[in-house]
Amino acid sequence: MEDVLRIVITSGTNWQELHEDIIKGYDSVLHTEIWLDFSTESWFSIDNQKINETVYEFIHNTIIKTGLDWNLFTFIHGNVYTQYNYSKWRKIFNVEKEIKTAYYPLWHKVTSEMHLDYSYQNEKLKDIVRPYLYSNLNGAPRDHRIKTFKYVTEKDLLKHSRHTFYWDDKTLPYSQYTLDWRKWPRLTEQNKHRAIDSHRIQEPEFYKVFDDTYFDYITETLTTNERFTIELDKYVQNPPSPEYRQFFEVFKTIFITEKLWRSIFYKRPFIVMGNHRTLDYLQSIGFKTFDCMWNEEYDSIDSNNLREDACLELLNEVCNTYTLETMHKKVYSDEVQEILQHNYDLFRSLADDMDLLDF
Amino acid sequence: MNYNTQYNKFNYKRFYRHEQQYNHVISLQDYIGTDNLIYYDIPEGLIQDIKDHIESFVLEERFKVNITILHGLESDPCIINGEWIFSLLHDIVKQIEDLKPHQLTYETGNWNINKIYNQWHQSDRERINVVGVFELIRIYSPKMWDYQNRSGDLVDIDYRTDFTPKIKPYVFTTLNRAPHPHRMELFIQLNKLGLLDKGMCSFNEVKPDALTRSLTEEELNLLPMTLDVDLNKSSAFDHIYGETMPQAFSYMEEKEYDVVPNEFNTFFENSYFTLVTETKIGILRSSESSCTADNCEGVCWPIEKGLECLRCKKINEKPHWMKIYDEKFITEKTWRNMLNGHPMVWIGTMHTAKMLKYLGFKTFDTLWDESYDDIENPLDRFNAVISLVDNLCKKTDEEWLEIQEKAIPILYHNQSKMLELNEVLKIKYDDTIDGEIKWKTS
Repeated sequence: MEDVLRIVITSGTNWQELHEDIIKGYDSVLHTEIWLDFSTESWFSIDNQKINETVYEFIHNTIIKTGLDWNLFTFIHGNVYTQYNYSKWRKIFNVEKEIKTAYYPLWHKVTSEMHLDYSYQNEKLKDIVRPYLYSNLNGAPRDHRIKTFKYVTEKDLLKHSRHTFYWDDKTLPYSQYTLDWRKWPRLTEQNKHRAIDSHRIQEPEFYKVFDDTYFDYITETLTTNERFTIELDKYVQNPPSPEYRQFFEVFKTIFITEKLWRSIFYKRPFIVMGNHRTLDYLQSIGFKTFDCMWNEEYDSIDSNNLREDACLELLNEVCNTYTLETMHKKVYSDEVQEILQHNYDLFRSLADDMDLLDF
Repeated sequence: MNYNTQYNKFNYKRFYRHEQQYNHVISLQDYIGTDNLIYYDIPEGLIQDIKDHIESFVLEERFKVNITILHGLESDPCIINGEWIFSLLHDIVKQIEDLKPHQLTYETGNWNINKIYNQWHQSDRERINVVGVFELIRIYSPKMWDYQNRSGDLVDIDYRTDFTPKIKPYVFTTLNRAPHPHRMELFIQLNKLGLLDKGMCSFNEVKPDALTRSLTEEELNLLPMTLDVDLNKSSAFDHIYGETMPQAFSYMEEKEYDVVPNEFNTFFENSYFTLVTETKIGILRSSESSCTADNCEGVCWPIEKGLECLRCKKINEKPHWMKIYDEKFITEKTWRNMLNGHPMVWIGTMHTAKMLKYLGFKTFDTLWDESYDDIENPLDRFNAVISLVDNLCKKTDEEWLEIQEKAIPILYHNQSKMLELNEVLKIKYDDTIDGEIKWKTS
C-alpha cells in the first residue's frame, strides 16, 4: 500500500495541526490516496483543542486547509454508520464536496490479532460448575457504568459476578500496570483507568474472571454518541444553527469495541449494554445472539436511557431465574454451544477477510 | 465510485455489494397477476420479500438500498383492499425498520400519478417516491434495446427515415385491436361521415358498446375490419404483436431477426397521419364505469360530483377511492410514430400532446388545430378529434404536400429524440408543484 498516505487519528491527535501533518506526509508522485484513519473512535464531534465542529465538518475543513484534491481523501471511522451519517451531514448542511468514507471494524481486527485466544476454556470447563453467573468489567467511569454499579449494588447482584468498577477501586488483583497507576505520568484519580491496556496479554487473574463465570454483562464504551451530554448542550439545546440539531437527531452510532468482540472470541454468551441495535448489526453480518437464553428486546429500544434500564432489569431477571447449575446446563446445551462455535468461527473468518491496517 | 474496491480495503468484503445492487426492482405483476385490472387483495409475499431483501444487506448498508415497485405497463389505478396502493406502500415502510419512505418508489404508467398521490397524502409524514413512467417508450427507443434473437444476438429495429413529401393514397391510418368503447365509437363516427375509405382502418376485434350508443346490426356486419391480418391463421393479437413488435411481448427469443422489420411502414408511407386510438381516454376500465340508469348502457367519466354518464348524463356514485382518480397514459402506439416520423392526432387522455411537448417532443399544432387536447370531457374531446379528422380528410393533395413539408422538421426532431433516448422518460414529484405538472413547452 505504498501509494496510500495513511494518517492515523486518535483521541490524542493534535487536531489543530492535522492539515500540516497531511501536507508534510503527502508526496504527489508517490501517493494516489490519503486515508484519514480515525477508526479508533466513533465521535459525533471534535470538542477539544478549541475545536467545536462535527467530525465531518472538521475533516472537510482540514482538507480545505491542505489545498489538496478532494478525490485523494478517504475518511475512515469506527462508527458502523459512517457512510449513513456522512450522507445525512452532506444533505442537511447542503455540502456539495464529497470524499469517500468507510467504516473500519478496527477493534474486531485488533481483538483477533492481539488478544489471547481463550476460547479453549469453554471446552475445558464443561464439567465444572462455576462459582459466579456473570462477568462485568468496568474501567472508565462512564454514565451507564456508574448506573450499572448503582443498580447491581442496590439489587444485590454483585454476589453473582466477577466484576471491576475501577473508579471505585473495585479491581482485580492487577500488577503494577494498573494498581500502581500513580507511577504513570499524566494519570490522576480521574483518569487512572487509562493504565489499563486492553490489548495485550493480561494477568492470569483477568482470565480467571471468565473461568469463574458463564456470561458477560458488557458495558460497552458507548450507549449513546460519544460526549453525549456535552453534545446535547452544544448541538441540541444551543445549536449554532438549526442544522446542527437536525444532524444530531439523525446521527446514529454503533461502536463495537474489544469488549464485545472478546466475548465472541472467548465463546461467551453476552448481554450488551451498548448502542441501539448492536445485536441487530451483529445478526446482519451473520452472528447469532442469545435470545434462546434471555429476552433480547432491549436491543431494539431506541431511547438510550430506557435501553440501559432494560439491560439492567434483564440482568436482574437472569440472576434471579438461573441458578449456577441451570446456567451451566443452558450454556452447555447443544443450542448455545452451537451458537458459540458459530460465532467464534465467523469472528475468525471475518477478521481474516479484513486487510490489516498496520496498527 | 467503485464500492467493491473501496470496501475491500476496510471492511468485511464479503458483505458489500456493487453500487447497482442497491437498486432492487420488483415487478408488481409478479405479485398481483394480470387477471384483474384495478382491484386486488394484499399481494402475498411482497412485504416479506422486500424485508428479506433489505435484511440481506449489512445494517449500515441498508440506507443505500432503493426498492422500486414497477407497474409501468399499465396506468390503471391499483386498489388494494379498497384503498389506493399508497396505503400498502406506506404500511410496508412502517413495517420494515430499515426502509425509509424515500427509499421506496412506485412506478406506474399513469403520468399524472403524483397528482393523485399528492391528494391522497395530505399529511406531514415523509413521502415515498411516486413516478409516472413511460415504460413502453422502450419498445421504440433503439438505444435502450437489449433484445436478443434466438441465437442470442442483439437485434436492431428498422424505422422510416425518408419523410419526403408525396401524394399518398390515404389520408390517415387508424389501427385498432382491443375493442374499447372509444374505438367502437370511432368506427361509428368514421362510418357515419364516410371516412372509412379515406383511411387505412383496422378494427380487428368487435364489441357492440361504443361511447354514445351500441353498434347497430348493420354496423356490426361491417366488422371486423382488418388490413393485412389473417384472422383465420392466428389471432390478430399474435399476428400484430408476435410478428411486428415481438420485443413488446418477449417473443424475440423465438425469432431469428437481425433487424425487426418495420411492418408498419406501409401505413406510414401510404397515409399522411395516424389517428392514434390510445389505450385510455380517461374512463376507468371497470364495471363501475357503467351507467346504472334504467335502459342506459352508457359509460361514465369521473367528474367532481361523481361518475357522469356520457350518454344520459346521470351522475352515478363514485367509489370512495375514486375521489382522487385521474389517469393519463401514453403507449407504444404513440412512440412508434415518433420513431417513424408519422404525424399524429390522438384519441387519448387529456393533455397527451401537452405532455409530449413537456417531454421535449414536438406535436402538430403548427399543422392543424390541436385544441382538442385541452378538452376535459372525453366525449367532447373525441368529437373534436373527429371534427378535425373530417376537416383533414377534405384537404387537397396540394395542401397535403404543403403540410408534409412543414411537418418535416417536427418529424426529424421527434425521431432524433427517440434515437437519442437512453433511459425511459419519467415524471417525478420534482416535475410538479404539489402534484400538478409544471407545464412548459418545447
